[in-house]
Amino acid sequence: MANTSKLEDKTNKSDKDPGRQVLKIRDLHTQFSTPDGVVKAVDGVSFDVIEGKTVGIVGESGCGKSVLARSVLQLIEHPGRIVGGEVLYHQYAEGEETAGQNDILGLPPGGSEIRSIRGGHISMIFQEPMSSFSPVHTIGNQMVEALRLHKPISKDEANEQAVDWLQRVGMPNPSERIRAYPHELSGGQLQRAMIALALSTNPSVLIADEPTTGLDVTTQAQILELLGSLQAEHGMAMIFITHDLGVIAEIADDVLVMYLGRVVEEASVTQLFQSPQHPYTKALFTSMPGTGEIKDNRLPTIKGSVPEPHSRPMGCFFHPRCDSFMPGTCDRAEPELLAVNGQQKASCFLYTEGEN
Amino acid sequence: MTSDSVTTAQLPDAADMGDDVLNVVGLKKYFPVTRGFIRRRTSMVRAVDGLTFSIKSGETLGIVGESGCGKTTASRCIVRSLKPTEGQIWFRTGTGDVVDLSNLSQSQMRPFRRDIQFIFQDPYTSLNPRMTIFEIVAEPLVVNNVGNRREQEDRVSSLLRRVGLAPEYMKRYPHAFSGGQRQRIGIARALALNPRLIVADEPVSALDVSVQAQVLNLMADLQNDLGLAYVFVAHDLRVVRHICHRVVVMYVGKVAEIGNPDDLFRDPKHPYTEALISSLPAVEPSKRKLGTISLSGEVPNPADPPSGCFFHPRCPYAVEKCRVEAPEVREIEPGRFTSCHRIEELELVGSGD
Repeated sequence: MANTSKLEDKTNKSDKDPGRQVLKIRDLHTQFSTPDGVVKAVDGVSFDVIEGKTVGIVGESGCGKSVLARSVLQLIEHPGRIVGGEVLYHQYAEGEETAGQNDILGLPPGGSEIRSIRGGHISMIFQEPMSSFSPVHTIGNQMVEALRLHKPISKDEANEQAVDWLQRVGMPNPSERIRAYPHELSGGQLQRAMIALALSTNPSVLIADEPTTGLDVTTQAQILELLGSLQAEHGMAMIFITHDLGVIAEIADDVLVMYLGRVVEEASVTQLFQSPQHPYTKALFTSMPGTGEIKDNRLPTIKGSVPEPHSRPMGCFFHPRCDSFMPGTCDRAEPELLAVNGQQKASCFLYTEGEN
Repeated sequence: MTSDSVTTAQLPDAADMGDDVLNVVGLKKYFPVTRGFIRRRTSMVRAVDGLTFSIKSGETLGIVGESGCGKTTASRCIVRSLKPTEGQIWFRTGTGDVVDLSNLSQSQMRPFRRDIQFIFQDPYTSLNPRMTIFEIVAEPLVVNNVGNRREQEDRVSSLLRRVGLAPEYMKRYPHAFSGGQRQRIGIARALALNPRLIVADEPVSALDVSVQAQVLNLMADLQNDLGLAYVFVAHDLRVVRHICHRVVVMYVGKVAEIGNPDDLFRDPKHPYTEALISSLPAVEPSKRKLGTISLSGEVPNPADPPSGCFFHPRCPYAVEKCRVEAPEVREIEPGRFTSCHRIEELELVGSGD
């Protein structure tokens, strides 16, 4: 039964061959202790990351998408703490099909192993490129340092590779720009430099946390195009975090929709856009200007706003804002993320109520 | 003044303004670039360079463009937090008089300030964290000596109700509110003195989509009920298409195109508008655009713009004329303005949806 829907899904990049799994994330929990109580920022999230494919993670502010991305690399700082789950990194040696398996969460934080994975095997880019560069060193020096940290090469070789990478990401005048300080570059150029820095070590996974959010649409389109073509060329996997469903439509293969720390829907990008299942996903689509059948001047909205993360509602977290709220069901128990339509999963009682 | 485009012909006196609330003519704002110890002026940044448009009451005019196109500078000139270098800003006051705001001093501006209000982009930095919601919303009333304390409290609670907040929130501080609620507070404050024109600089771009829709609906309701005119500055073309009646597309301080948003989307009349539309992310995966985008390069430095048409280095249709001759804004259809030399020969592609 899963076969039919699988066939439709294969509209994306590589046609056959599901690809090798590079990351397997299981039941990840990350919490923050705050004066108002414990915030379960990531609350039992599982997903797989496949070579050459992009997992899009979408949700509004406070849904835990950025914390999820950072947890994968153990980049959680006090008062946050990863309290459970596994992040298995599959490392494929040259020409081999079986993988060595590392549980990233089991590695000592700050140890040499996790540091060789960060930036070497799994790289990350951020919304604010300014914050990932040091303002007092040139772009080139920082790239050379990163390259030499992960590869046994000389300074000159590293410099050459850095120029080469800047060239590949479309930086104008790379051999000159490499001597520039971060403040001398425009937002789009700095974002390109950060992508060059992140990819120069040939990572197998790139985690992108809202990398185009502050940029103009034209620059955003250029950056998305760049990431897509680099992915096609190098076969890296991507975890792409955004609040923008349009960006998801452009770049993702599979999508997780998050709300208050949980995945509420999981689907291929085609399924998600053709037939969103969870009421929250549906509402996100209709409240986007330019998608629905509006023009009597009113957009459909989701009532209320996202609750405080330390006091999530009882039952389904979305029930106070949901148009399909079923009293007595949705406010009592928490729905599980279950298959509703082939590979597509949603955590909503609308799909389980009929069965019992 | 020679190259001053569109409407030097329709310099408005009161009769000419029709039911326009605002009529901006040839607005320019230049910032000097200074060098060295004696602050020698080395060049000028032409942030806004000849902007002309008008707004009727109950109408929303959008100004869109990439960062650095001068849209924010233009909005600051209209509310006169900046003094324009050149041009006129004709404003119809509540009593029906028409005044040119462009040359007024700050004290001469005072009587008109209550008519023109501003909504800010970032709801987290635009509210003073040490003031209660009452103090924030009532401040314009207090400054202008409107009413006594009791009357001010009544006014604030009706304003809060108007923007969809409970009046009991009056005693709280901004930190207790979410981004969408803060933006509502900012709107309530802007409404306090019954303005006739609201200039909103990216009012929803910091908000989540679901909350963004609520705030856009609120702004539309207020416009219907109160007949407000909006200048809506934004970079999100889909939002602009949804809320605006007319749109000005700016590029490096100059007008690329003016038109109503549906026309502009379906049938752009400037290659830059076409490029902006083609850069919008798809609305569904089957319409992916990756690999089809023609626009390359970056916005030029406004202190050192290219010759001729400022868009020519990035324009796929540029010819010699575009390199040497600066285009003027001209009306090609009623209400439709463009500054492209070649528009009559071009077949530009809009958006199907």
